Order: sequence, then C-alpha cells, then structure tokens
Amino acid sequence: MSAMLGRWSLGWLAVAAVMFAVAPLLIAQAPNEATMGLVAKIVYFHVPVWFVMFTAIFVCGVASGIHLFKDRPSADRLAVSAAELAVLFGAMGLTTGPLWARVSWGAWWVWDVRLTLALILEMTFVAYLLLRKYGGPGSDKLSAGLALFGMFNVPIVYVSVNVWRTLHPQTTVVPTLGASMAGPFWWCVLAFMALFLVMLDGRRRLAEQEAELDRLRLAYDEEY
Amino acid sequence: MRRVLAMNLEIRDVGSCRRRCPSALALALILAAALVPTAPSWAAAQPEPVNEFVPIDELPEEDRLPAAPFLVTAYSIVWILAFGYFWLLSRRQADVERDLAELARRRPVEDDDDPLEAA
Repeated sequence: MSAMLGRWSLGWLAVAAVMFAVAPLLIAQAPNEATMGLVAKIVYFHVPVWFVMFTAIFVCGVASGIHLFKDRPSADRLAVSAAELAVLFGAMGLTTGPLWARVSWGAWWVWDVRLTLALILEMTFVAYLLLRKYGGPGSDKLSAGLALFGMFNVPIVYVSVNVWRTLHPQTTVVPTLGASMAGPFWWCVLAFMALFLVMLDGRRRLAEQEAELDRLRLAYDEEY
Repeated sequence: MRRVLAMNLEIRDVGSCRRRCPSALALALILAAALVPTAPSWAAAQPEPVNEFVPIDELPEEDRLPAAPFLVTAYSIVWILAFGYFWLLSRRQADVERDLAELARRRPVEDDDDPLEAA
C-alpha cells in the first residue's frame, strides 16, 4: 500500500479509516426518517457517493480543459484518474439508489428525469474510459472533449429534481436536515471525500508510472 | 355448395342458442338476484383506494418490505466496490513495477539511469 500511495495519501487514508470506523456509530444513533423509516439511512452513503462522483467529474473536466487547451500530459493523467473514480462512485450511487427506491417507492427503477440523467452521466464517463482504452492515437483529446460535456451535465443532473416533476427528493432535503441527521450525513460526506483523495492520488501515481514505463519502452526500442 | 352448408350450420347454431339461451339467461338472473344482497359486504372487503401519499410506517404489514436487508446490502455494495477498486489498483501497480523491473533487467549494466529510479 505504501508503494501505491505517498505519505500525504497515507495520512488521508488514516483519516478516512478513522472516520469510517466512527460512521456506523453515528448512523446507528441518528433517528429514522419519519415517513420512510430505517431504509432512509441509505442516505448516509447514497448522497455522499454522488457528491464524490460530481467532484470527480469536476476534477476530470477541469483537468481535461487544461489538457485540451494547454496540452499538459500531467493534467490528462489526472483527468483519466478522476474519470475512473467518477465511474466507480457513480456505480455505487446507481446501486444504492434502487435498493432505497425498492422499499420506499415500490420499484427498483423509474425512468424519471433525475435517474435517467444520472445514468446518462455514468454512461458518459464509461464511454470516456472506453475511448481511452480503445480509441488509439488522439483519443486523449477526444475524451477531454467528452469530459467537458460530462462536466456541464452535472449542474443539470443536480437541479433536475427542482425543474421537472420527479419521484426523487428535491435538493432542499440536505440543507434542511435536522441536526441529529445532518451531523452523521456531513461526517460521511467528509469521510468519502477523504477516501476519494486517497484513491485519486493512488490512481494518479499509477498513471504517472504507466506513462514513465511507456517512455522507457520507447527509449529502449529506439536504443536497441 | 360448401358455403351454403356453412351458412346453414351457422343458422342452425343460432337457432339452437335461441332455444337454450332463455333458460341460461334465467339462471344467470336468478344467481345475480341472489348475490345482490351480498354486494355491499364485497365492497366493504376491498381496500380503500389510495389517492395520496401514505407514510411507510402506516402501510399494512403485508405491503411492507423489510428495510434492514436492503440497508445492509447497500452499505456492503459500497464497501465491496471500494475494496475491489483498491485491490485492482494494487494489482495494476504490481504489474507496472514488474514491467519496470523487467525493463531494467534487459538494459545493459553500464547504463547509469535506472528506470526504477526514474519511475
């Protein structure tokens, strides 16, 4: 693990580990939501993973913009790392959501605006990764454009529940959480953010090493 | 000829129905009349139509799903994906380090720059 992560990331990993060790106690002590009951405690993981996914997409979008307009390979490697994490945390959100919906709505999935847009966002970044893997030369610039498109989609996904009629709770829910629920909720958000930073640093280091390996292979081939 | 025969058969069928139907109709009417007094009790047995939001804790027991398995599954999936990603990352890291070491082994000894150092 220490080879994969730097000292800075190991510190964040320790912070995340402590926070996640405490989180179940805070979640257990938090009261059940009045209408949905116990199942609403999925909120302590479901919403933070979406927050992390949106953060990962913004990191990916900004880094892609830098790579696209200033041609910085290091920004591109950061963008790839963030895109991979966007897909990972999006997958978490897309699996925890239906489990909650099945109990509270009586359906695993409904094709309303929020859910559909979130699925499209996830698929956009899956497409980004596929493009990077199989797109060949020049795919870094194409995928950077795709990442910018994905980034501009995030605010639409976020406000969709306020604009269109949907079963999904509106964005006003989180700011109006009672103190007994807001405490564990923001604790979990910070814990997932710490985990995201650790994962991002680990993935970025791997991308740097892969780039170095490619450079050395090219040098070796030219030399011998 | 065949068409005329078919038409005759249809007419005969209609005729036989006409002969049987009055008795069947009478039987149905008698049954309906017998069941009419019980209709209000059937209607009372039906659940009230739901036209507004019902909190989950006010739902009848048979309509409720146990929440705990869904909650545990949701939390487990998050952890499985997170640990799975770390495992995948460490495997890819090990592959890259192995390739770097292989490259270093293939290069002649007189080379000063060690690829592992550079990486």
